Amino acid sequence: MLSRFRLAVRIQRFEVWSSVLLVAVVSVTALIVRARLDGVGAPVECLTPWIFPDVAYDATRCFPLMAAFFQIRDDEAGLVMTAMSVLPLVVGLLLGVGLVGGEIEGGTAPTVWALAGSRRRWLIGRLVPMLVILVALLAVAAIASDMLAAAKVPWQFGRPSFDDAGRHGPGVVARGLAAFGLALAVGAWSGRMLPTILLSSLLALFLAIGGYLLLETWVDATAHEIDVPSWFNGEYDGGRFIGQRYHLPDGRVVGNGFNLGALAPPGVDPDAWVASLKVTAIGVHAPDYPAWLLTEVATFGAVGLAFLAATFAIVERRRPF
Amino acid sequence: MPETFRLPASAHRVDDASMDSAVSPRAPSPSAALRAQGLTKRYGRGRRAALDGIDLDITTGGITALVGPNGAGKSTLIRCFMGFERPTRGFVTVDGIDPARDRPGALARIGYVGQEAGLYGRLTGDEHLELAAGLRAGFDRASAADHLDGVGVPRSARTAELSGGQQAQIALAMALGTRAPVLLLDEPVARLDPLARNGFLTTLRDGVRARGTTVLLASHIIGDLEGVCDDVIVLAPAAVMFHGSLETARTGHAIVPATDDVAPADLVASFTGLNGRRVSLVRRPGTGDASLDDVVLGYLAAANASLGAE
Repeated sequence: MLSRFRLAVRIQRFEVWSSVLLVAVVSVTALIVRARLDGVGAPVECLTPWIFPDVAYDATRCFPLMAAFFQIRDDEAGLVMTAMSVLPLVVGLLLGVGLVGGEIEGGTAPTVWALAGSRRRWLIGRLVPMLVILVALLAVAAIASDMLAAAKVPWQFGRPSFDDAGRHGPGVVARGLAAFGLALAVGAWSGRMLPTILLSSLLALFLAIGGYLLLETWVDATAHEIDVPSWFNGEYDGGRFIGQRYHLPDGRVVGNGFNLGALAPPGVDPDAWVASLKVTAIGVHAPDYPAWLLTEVATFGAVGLAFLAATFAIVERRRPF
Repeated sequence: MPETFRLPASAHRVDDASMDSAVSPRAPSPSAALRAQGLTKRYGRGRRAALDGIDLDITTGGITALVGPNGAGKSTLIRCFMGFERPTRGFVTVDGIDPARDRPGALARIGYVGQEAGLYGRLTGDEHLELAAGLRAGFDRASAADHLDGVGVPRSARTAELSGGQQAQIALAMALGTRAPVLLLDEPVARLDPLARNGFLTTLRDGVRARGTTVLLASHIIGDLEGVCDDVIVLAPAAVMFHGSLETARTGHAIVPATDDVAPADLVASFTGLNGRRVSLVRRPGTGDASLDDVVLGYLAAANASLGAE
């Protein structure tokens, strides 16, 4: 088994080392940026003072710290997180494109398929090492991205957050698996490298867009009414909100578009009256994040497994040339 | 070994009627290592058949040359035996196993070398043997390594750095290492220089003779086959034109000037020989002295004549 693992890595040495390099660069950069964010030493009350109404805001002390923190957060961490959203797709494609497509184009498929007899057995032998490498590499990236994501929202104190959803954590591994399966299936179907690279890259783009749409759809489907603190302004609480509701004294619940001021009792300042109404948010809040994470991992994992199953079916039926 | 002369149905219509008398379909042999029955392979609807109703029995043991021009269907036939192509009609068997029904079972009885060596440029010869041992149960790695040592192929060098002949030897070592009872070789020497071709064929002959392996060796380089093969199959586009022993092929035919009077029943075909003169290949059972080149050219000319008349 170890021998087949070693040979599988040797056969795809370029792809494996490219993936290792990519993951190393992005992950190490993530950890460096995290260290730089921590290094600013900005107290949380300086970054989100509205959460701490009882703490006096020291503008002289806080402003430069806040500026430095948000500059690193928006520029460097933002860039790394963007890279993190692309990384699993690139690594998945890199490791998957040549695995079957390369064997067919390179003329080795007839030799190894004749030797192995069972194509399923051959594919498992070639697939498992790459899958192990993919999961191991992306697990490193997932941990590094989680660490950076946590450092970007220190006001969450390590609690889950929808900030950067889909760009960190186990979802990184699941997205990589989906891209890997996609590239494998396209490669097995086309049997040529260039068409596989072009087509699977295009489809991976749809996979990325699909991931975003999945989040939006999930949020819309899961959104519920959430009691919010008095300081709530729709930001920096780790949730994802699609609207607010105002609870009127007569029991009605109305949304943002309603002309609330017109409903104020005669002789009462409308602004003060609106400010006194109970407000709730509609959306998902930070504690809902694990449920989203599960949905993300399950969806992309299922997509990846479906493509892997398709690859087995294609390899079983197709010609080796 | 009895010989088989077969022409496509169209040939009987257009060629001299006397050739009908030479057609003697071979009865199925109980010891056939490779069998094709009514084998037709057509790529896509409306296209010409790559193989058209082929009947073939290759008995166990011995090296059979499968010769024919490009496009004759040599590779298609081998691919059908390997289960890489599914017959449009008819069937093939390898040691009695139909690869269309049990491909792993058929492949377990086959060692294969293709026209391209089919090796990984990044792996060494030793790693290829290691790979083969991991893929095929019972792979004889030691004998495969001995084979490579015997022909002077450096086992520790990456195959991308080796010559075409050395790569072909690695592919042959992998096929021999399977200890499969059947070897299918799909033009493995087509791209090799004469010296490498000779080295390959010599080691093939020495490697399989003692074991009683059945070898089907596709080639269009006829001159290389005479000292190696026992039987020959002449495959013209889509049909078997001749199947018999090399000895029968040579002693059963003669070349005469095309101007000679030949009984229509004895005439295979008239064609322009390698020396540029117009000659005829005629049947002279037991008294002929044709070269294998002549026999192959004559039967291919017969096939061309029948195709041209269609």
